[in-house]
Amino acid sequence: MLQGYETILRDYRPYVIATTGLLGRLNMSPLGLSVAPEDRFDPLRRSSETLLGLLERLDGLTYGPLGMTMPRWAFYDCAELPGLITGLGRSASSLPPRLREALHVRPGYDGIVPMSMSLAVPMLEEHHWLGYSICSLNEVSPGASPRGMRALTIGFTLDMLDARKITGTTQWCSPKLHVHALFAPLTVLTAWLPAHTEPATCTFRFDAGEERIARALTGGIAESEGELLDVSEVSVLQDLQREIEAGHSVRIVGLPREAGARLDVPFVREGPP
Amino acid sequence: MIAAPATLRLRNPALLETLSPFLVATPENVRHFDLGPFGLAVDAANVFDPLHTRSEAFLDLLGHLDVATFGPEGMPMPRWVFFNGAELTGGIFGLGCPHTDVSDAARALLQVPDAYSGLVPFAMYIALPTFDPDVWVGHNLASAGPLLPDERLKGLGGLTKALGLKCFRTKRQLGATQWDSAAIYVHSRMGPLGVLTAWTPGHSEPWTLTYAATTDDGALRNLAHDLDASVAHPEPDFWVESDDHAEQQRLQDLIEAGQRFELVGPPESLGSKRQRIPIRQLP
Repeated sequence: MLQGYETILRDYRPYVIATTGLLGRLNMSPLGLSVAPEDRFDPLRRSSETLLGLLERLDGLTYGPLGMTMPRWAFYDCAELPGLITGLGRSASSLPPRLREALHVRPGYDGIVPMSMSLAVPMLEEHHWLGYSICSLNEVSPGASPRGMRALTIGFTLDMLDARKITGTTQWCSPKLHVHALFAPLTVLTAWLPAHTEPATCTFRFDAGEERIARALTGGIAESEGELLDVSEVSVLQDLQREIEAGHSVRIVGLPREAGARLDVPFVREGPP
Repeated sequence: MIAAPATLRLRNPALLETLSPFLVATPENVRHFDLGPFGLAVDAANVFDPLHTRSEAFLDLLGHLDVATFGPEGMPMPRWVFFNGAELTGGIFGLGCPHTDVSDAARALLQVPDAYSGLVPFAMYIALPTFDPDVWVGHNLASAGPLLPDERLKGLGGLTKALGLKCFRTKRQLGATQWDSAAIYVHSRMGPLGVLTAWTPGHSEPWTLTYAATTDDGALRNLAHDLDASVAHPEPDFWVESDDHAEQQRLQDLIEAGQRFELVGPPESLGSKRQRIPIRQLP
């Protein structure tokens, strides 16, 4: 399943931040990637402070331009206490100076430096999780780490959690839409959310599981037939939202395709049963 | 439908005479909740689906309530945190007033648009589930009560939190609050609180304590200011002053070394926005 990810597997290792109660329930060898004891952090202990600072910086670099930097208290309340933060990183000493500087790595620190981050929070049904956010430094510094960091991070997060169902959000204009679409088909729960910071937000859901992870990590989904709609058009999103609210089923069935200023996404839409 | 009367006998009965409960949650989450906490029925018209655009005006007002109550402390909640961090995963329970009964002072405080009709939220409690279905994280308690001193809203925060925890069917609640926060008065009404952290670098304000509360009916009734309820307040072994960061860090070191502590009562004011909090060491 992990063919093609060799450069990541060679140089990067997973980390996780979760309270001890949750740590004891997690798969600590997700996709065969072992989480070393020194890379497991309890947010209730002061020893997690440096890593949490590095994560806050990574979040600021990647979500700041979107106006969605997560306040540190929100990290704590909305991820570390109820759920977890995980991702891939590498030792500080193995990073080039420009990245250590960009990530605000303190001189003398040689622990793990996160290069990707996934936040997951439990939903009310067992094995159903909210993919709260996903990011990689590559989004703002292409080449800082190998390609595929986000997809692999999502994949091993799902396996770590033994997740069967995932709900998530992404902005239609975000490059993250592409990585989520690897796990298609995605059921669209919202296409236009006026109450959100960014109304052009997609809330989606998909059934997770080993087969879905494997397919996403080995070249993505087989392109399905779907109606291409330009999701950069607000009116398109508002129409989709009206259909969803009227009880229609709206699914993303393939990868987004850029065409000039357009961003075409393949959808399958069906009327209410 | 006539709402069932609440089984609470409140010190301030005006709260339930003038305010109605509301809930913001996805339809799939609503199915898990108690829509009649302590006999107080949540009217279907006051259940708001965050996935639906018709909830927009009400969610805007919740944002205004948050800014009015947490904005001055520098911790207003971004809208996307509301959505991801509360509305999708857990729920928002609160109490509000029909727009026709809202005073000019409250309209101004909560920035109620002239054209708005419907319930105006005066208080809300936000909580998220954890991996343990009995344990929830209390994320935010906001009450306009202290900002509207002439509107007979005393006790609104505690009542809202009690009803919210009952609605979410929690058995244990985790929360984070600052040592200098007046909210400790409210939280300590649930009885002794386990102290999980006394100094919290993961938080924007490290002088944050993380607590764990048992949320049985007795604790929740006392939290709601029910005249028939009471909780034990054991004698403290020592007090922690809200600005004594060295003591808070020392306490954190002891917790990490395996010692256990409880917060056993309401804070005592030391003036100048300082307070001290009673702590007991557990065997």
